Amino acid sequence: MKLHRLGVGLLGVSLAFFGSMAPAQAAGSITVWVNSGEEASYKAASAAWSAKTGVTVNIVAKCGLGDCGMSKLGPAGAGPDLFTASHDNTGSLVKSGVVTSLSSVVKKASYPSAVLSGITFNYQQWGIPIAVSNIALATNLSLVPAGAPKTWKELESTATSLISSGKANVGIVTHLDGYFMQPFFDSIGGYVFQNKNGSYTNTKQVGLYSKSLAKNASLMDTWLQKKIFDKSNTYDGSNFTNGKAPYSLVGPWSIAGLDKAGMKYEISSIPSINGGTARSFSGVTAVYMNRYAKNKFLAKQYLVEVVQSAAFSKAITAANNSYPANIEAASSIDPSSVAGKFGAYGAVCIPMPNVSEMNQVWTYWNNAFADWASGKAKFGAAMESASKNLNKALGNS
Amino acid sequence: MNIKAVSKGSKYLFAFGFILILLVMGTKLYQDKAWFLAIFFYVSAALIFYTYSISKSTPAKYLLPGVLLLTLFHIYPAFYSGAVAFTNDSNGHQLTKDQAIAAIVQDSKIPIATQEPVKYQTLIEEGSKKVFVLFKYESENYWLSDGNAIRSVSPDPRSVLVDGTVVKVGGFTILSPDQTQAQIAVLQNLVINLDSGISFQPQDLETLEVSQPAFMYNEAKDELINTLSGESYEPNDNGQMVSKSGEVLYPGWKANIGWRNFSSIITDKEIRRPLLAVLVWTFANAFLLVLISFLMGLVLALIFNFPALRSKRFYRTIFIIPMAIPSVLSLLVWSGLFTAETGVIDRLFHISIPWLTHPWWARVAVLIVELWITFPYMFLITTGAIQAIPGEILEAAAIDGASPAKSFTQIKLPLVVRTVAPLLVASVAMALNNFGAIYLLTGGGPTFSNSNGNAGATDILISYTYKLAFNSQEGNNYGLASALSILNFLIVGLISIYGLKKMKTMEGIN
Repeated sequence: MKLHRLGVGLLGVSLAFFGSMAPAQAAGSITVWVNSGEEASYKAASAAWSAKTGVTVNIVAKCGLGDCGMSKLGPAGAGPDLFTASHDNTGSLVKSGVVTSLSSVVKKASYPSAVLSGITFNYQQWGIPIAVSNIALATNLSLVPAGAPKTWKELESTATSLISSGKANVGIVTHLDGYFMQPFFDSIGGYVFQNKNGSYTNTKQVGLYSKSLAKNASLMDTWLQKKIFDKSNTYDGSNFTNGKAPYSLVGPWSIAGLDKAGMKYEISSIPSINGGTARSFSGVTAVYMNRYAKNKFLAKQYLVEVVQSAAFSKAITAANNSYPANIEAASSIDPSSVAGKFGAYGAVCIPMPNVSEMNQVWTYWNNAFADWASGKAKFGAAMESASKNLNKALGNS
Repeated sequence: MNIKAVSKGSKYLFAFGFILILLVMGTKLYQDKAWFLAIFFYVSAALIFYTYSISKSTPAKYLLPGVLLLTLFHIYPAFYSGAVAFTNDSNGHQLTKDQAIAAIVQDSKIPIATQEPVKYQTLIEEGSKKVFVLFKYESENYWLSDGNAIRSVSPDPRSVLVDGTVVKVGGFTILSPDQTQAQIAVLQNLVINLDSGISFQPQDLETLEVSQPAFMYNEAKDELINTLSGESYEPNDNGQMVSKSGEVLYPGWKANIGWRNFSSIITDKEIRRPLLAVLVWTFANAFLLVLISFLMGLVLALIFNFPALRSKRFYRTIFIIPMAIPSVLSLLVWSGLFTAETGVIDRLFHISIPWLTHPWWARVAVLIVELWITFPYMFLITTGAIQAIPGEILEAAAIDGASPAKSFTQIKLPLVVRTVAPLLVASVAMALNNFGAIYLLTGGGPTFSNSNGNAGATDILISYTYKLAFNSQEGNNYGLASALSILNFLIVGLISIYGLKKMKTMEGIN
């Protein structure tokens, strides 16, 4: 019957198909997952090595803020060989058991100690740092011709006078959450975990409601009332680009938007209320190796020969406006450029804690900020209850 | 060309191409060790081939695609979720026990510095074709191991070169550098352990990394021993290694924890407290939505029934718009409109309501938007129901002297309700799981400040479950989320069954 003939033909074709089923990755290739939008710079930076060694480097854009889904994909064998992530994921990545220690690969002398502490967990290094990014203060030069404020008093008086004269809606355009508000939190004496020589392993002491913060908490309420912070908490960036706000907290990712709006701005460090500089969180972008990688030798070779090089760090950071983590690459950045200004401020910033307890910290901390912004609680009360709940959740009390 | 032949030929082509795709997918799944799905695809291909090659028409030809899709997208995920609900699947518990122990041991390696790098050679055992590694370390003899067994060998001095390379070992083939390259997959994962505890691992194609892991695993006793501190760790019932003093080692593994996920819903205060509030709001939201939207739709349908109303087409078009716009878009726009103070709603009415940041106002906002999206549907079905009422009944009622109000409550309303009752039951079932409206509008609403799983004032059970599973800040607790989704299924199922049963009694109204 015609059907049977066709059936046999189908069988033959299928057998041919299955016979040619090659394994998923051909020998001589590695797969690297990078942040969305950055494939081009990674491909360009790997091209020379790839041509020299004949190893195909597959760059795929699959990562974002978190851990690229590695905690589930890695053990299942569906992960890449290398992937990029922000250093604050180090603790949870190590605890999930999905990354390999790179202590024998990292050249410690190439990176500043703050950067190294970001990727250090349990006395071992787990990632190769590439870039350092932090937020900084952007001043709208059309509204504030005098330039960036050197003291907090200057910032406060400029903002309030502009608001009262109706020229501005709000003083500083920013998200009202832990990450963005950290410099102000820090300047009134609050902290998350004690930073001892760059390591945050002491999670028994939570500083969300430290003595110093309790004393100064009312200042935050005053500033909210004076509209220095926007209590609608919507981060309406257009307030800044339309000239309705003199200051904004921006990261390297915002620069493209500011340039597109044609703004004249200046990047500077954030002044602290007690004089000096308030310390924001710095984030280190690092390349991690999947414990269940299919091409461990080649991936290691790529790390040693490409990712650790100053040229690589420089190339990647040039494309996304962040500051190189590699000391040699950083020394060639022009201090007056945007990246240079971010980096200069970043040098005094503290790295985000990389312990996995940070997940719970963000929950309670951000909720406290939301309660304070919506007017449900005063700053001191919100932080006190967050501190209590966090201590309970961490098992400290 | 003969149309019949072309259509028949293309039909065959399409059918066989489809079956081929199923077989290819099945093989890929088989390679990825997804057993059930692989078998499912093979069986589907066979069933499709068999069913559609029969020339006469059978019910199976109509039922088969639906049954296959039902199995794949409903029955399989339901049972899979059920299986996951009995495990502690979450962040830090994704590995198998062997993987977890291997990871702990590997991470505890203390590197041993050697004067010169330890070189190795790759061999293949002639009978079994297994890959072996030959190297020399602190002894005159060579070590030969495939990662499992290790033995000491002393090759014939005449087959050893000056630099220590061996050129001949009895029963083995020594590989050249190119042949070694082909064995990369095996070499990468090889770990060789001496009885003294020293561990060797190939770090490239020629040299071994020498280290001493601080942890040693005693498989017989199922315990990990820290050789530096002497502490011993045994598995607990949550897929982790713990010491007697309570120190927990990471990573853990996926373990079967029985009914603990289900019981924790009742016993764990951190889960029970927000869950109760979420459940109450889930029911309230669903019932209020269906009730109010039904009434709105009914009123509009009755108004439309007046023959005197002009420009009906215009009104009808406006009323259909909320249903016509993709709800994802309209929800995102609405969440912008509801912004406090600077949003359109607050500015338009000169009010200052903190819509999305105050728990009760957020609930009102959610209901308003859900009503806006649902009332056109209710309007349509009630219009249809009203128009389906035979005109003679209404005339008879009018002749009998019934007032318009009586005619409405005694005749129209019962008939309409009887007609749309199944749709209302379905609407309640859908409203209980109205994930999009909640998640896109408020993300679950202003969060309860004391909730562990980030539950909020407008969270319904399904959005709370989603956040537990996919909000990595909460530890991706897939196990608990699966248990909650089973609970969700039971709730929705029971309410639907009850509703349908109640409908049957309504059939008596005539």
